[in-house]
Amino acid sequence: MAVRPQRIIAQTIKELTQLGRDRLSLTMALGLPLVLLLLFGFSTSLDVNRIDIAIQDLDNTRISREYIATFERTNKFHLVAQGPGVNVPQLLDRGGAAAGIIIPPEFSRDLKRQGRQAQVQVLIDGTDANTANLVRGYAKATTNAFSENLRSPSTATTPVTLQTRLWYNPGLETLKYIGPGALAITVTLFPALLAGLATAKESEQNTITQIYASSLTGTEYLLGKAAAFWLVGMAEVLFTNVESWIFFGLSFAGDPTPLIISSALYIACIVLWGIFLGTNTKTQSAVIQAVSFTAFLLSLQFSGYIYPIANIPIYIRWLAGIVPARYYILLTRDAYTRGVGWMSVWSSVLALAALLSFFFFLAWRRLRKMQVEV
Amino acid sequence: MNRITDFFDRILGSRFWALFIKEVSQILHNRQLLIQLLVPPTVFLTLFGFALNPTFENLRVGITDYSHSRASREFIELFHQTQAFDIRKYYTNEQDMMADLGKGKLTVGITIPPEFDNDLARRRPTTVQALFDAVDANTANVASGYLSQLVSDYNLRRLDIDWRRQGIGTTANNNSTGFTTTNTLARQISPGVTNPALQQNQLPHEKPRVGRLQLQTSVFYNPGLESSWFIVPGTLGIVLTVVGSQAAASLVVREKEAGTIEQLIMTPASSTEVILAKISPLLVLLTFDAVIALIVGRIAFNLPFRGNFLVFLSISILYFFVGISMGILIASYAKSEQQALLTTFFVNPPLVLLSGGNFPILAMPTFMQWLSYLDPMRYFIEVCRGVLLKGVGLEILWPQVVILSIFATILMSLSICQFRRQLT
Repeated sequence: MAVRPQRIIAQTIKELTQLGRDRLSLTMALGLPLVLLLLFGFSTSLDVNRIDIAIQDLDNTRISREYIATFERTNKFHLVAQGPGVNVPQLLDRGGAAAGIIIPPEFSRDLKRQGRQAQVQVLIDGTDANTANLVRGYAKATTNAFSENLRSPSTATTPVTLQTRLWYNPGLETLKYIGPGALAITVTLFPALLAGLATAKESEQNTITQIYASSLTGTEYLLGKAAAFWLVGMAEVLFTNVESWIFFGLSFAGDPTPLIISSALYIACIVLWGIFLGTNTKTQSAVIQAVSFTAFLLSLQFSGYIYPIANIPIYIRWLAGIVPARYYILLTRDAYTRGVGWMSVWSSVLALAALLSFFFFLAWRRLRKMQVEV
Repeated sequence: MNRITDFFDRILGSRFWALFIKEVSQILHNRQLLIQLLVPPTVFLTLFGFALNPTFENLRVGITDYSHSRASREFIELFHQTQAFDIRKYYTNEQDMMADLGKGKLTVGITIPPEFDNDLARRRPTTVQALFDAVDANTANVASGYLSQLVSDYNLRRLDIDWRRQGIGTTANNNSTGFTTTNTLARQISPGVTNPALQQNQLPHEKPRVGRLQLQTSVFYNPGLESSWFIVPGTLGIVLTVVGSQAAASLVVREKEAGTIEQLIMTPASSTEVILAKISPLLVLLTFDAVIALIVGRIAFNLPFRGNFLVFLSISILYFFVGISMGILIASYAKSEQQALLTTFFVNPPLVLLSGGNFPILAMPTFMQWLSYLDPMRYFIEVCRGVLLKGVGLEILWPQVVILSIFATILMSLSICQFRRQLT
């Protein structure tokens, strides 16, 4: 089946004109990713830095106050209530505090007395298991620091000191990690959505029969449609990258060519996925839902954007393997933070190319079936 | 008796009921919508519940041990004792380890210096180096937290051993049984002792020893720290909102596009009745969805249901009302189905992100935390977690109910207004 470039271009121009007429859709397609990027970048993090705690201090002595002060000194905790009358369980019920600490009346006495252990009770709201884990760790570290301090005010006692160095992201700026990920997620949504909607609309309004009647082949139709939304998607990529440079302060850490090439592959991937969904559903509302779930929620959760892929149980981890965002995220992260370049990311680029051909095949098979043989 | 039949007659004979029946049969005819409403929420709930796990386990550790001593092996042994770390490889030199760190094969590389054993034996502070791959700032942060906890535990344990040794040493001294005493003392009076606290304690009469401080942690509501118990109620809120608002928007817009909405106005029914009749079948379906989700949560994740079922159900219906009104409001402004759908598609992600369904609100920057108060989903998810996990009732959740009612009233009256304006 010969592919005629002229027809593909004509088809592309037709799609773009159609999109250009619908001003609202076009502004949304180009403007909304910019808004979303900011939201994504600033709102997704699992790292709780300000934990609300309530302390019920039944001891109320100098030492117990010193203990409380140790908590205040770490910048992780924020004291919401303090004193002998604090009702910790009730605060947890209300969600007013993430954890509560109860210092018993015999606290300082036990600390001073030989061979006795002072006990402090920590109650943690476990609804968010991750935060609860963090809180437990911080509380323990703070208490350790306090008791080390009690034993020997000079820090020289600690037998082993840990010298920590953070590579690639010394300031531990979450944005350097979240930013590139947010970039990848944001550009996923709209190209897939627009392509899917345009394809579904064609069968909903039955304009597809006109295409059957024309001499356009399935492959040409597919390539033409994909090219149009690919262009829109690439424009989005450009805008969002500029935006993340302005707002997140991201700049290329190394060779940008892997990112450029993979962006082209990635956008093509998701556009073809959108077209595939569009040909498989009969209505636009079904497309939008399919895209919401597969392109948005699946990319958001299965790409390693926030939740580590290694934590996904093996029997559904393969699903992450066919989510293109997973590979693209590795590439954006490498381009913006690690900067190692081709050496470390070539396999992801290959994976994207493989997925691209897979999605192309899916969409093409579907359209070939729809095509009336002349 | 008569009054009851009267009541039913009035309901069944009302215009609302006629419209309701019309909507129900319309939805039942639309198989795709039914599938759309019932299947994806359940599938995604299960998928996310199983897959999303933010706890960090098996962080990849590489170790370069230059010391090769009993002390260093003891130190390394600590890493085996926790679930958090998984030692991937031992390196003979630091360069290889750093190269692997650069390739992203390791999360943390640890270098134990050659003088580790010697320093410890001489009670000199020694330094262990930890290199983190901080591209993922969050993981690096968690890993470094775990690691310092590990080291601080180790230090406390060592100090404890020292104290005890000295304790034995001194009591032994009091009992005046020679050998052990001299042994321990000999070990302690070494050239490296610069520590005033340690030196002080070698004098038997001066023992400002303080007892150990023990932390008793109890985790409320989720003692097993199951992360799915956090994710599933959150996802429940997310998925049902996404589905509800989209379905509502597309139902209304389609009627508008098909021009059948004019026929509805020709009927004597008021626009409030028209809208309410449109909403009710969706409400029923979404409630049905929620119940299915709860059953799935129960079976697949052992999710507890500690609160009152009726409280949960009625707040859910209130919330679905909010979600559906959002969809209808969008639809009443949109000119085409595509526009309506694109707009819901735009509205939903911020709602999802700010709701705290998948990411803790506490982890957001302050500004975003403030924004999240404007997100109705936030309150619904609080209710879900409150009722399911904490088992609290209206006495605690009333603020959420009040806020959701305000949202419902505002959104509903706005959409009825807009609907009326467009039609007349």
